[in-house]
Amino acid sequence: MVAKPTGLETFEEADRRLRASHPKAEAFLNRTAQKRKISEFLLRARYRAGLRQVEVAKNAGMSKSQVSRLEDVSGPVPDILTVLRYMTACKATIGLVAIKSIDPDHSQIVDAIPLNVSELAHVNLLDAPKLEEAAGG
Amino acid sequence: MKLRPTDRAYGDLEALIKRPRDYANVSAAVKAIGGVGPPPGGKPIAVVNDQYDVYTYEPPGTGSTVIVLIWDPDDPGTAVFAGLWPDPDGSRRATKRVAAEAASAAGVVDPRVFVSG
Repeated sequence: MVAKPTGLETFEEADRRLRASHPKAEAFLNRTAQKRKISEFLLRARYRAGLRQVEVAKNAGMSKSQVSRLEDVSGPVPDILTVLRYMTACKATIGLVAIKSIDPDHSQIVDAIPLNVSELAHVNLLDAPKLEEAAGG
Repeated sequence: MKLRPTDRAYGDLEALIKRPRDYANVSAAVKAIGGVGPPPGGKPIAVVNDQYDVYTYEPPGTGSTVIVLIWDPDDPGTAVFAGLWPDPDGSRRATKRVAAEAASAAGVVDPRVFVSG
């Protein structure tokens, strides 16, 4: 049973109220938290550009269903090159951000640079073993 | 920016939360819109009563459904989340119907719709 709203409420308030009444939805939302962050990131870029999925698909050389899957809150987290293609199609880019940890719950952005496709290939961010080695793993 | 749900939006969301994946996709889209606002330099699909800008946003994973928002000209930081409608997909007649229904749901009295473009 859904609790009824009392007066006006923001979407965030409505969301909290609905989730509290639907444990299955709450569990799904918790399970997909990481992909939802990516999804919201991609959607913000598309909405900021004022583009429809079909326009992003055309600009990125993807199908509309590929774009929809990338944006979907479920499914695998996309690789960085795919994210860059999507962002470029939204007339944006991605970058490298240096984040300083303050404590386990807080961090601070201390440096950031934008990237393009050739730079991304140059720094070889997709080389997972080297990444783990660099991270001391 | 705030998003203020209407009765229509409450109805949409309450029906949708029974389908967690669809709800999560719409929720992600609404939160993303909240972080962006109306597209800078973007063109509304319609203007209601020469005052209210109507925008549609495609959430992922929900087929041909769009989120319709009515932007409040007296409070640019606030949009009324009018709810979910079938995508008018460029049809002037469907756009006019969706904009009129959304404006009514958002509380606009006697909406007169001008379809852009």
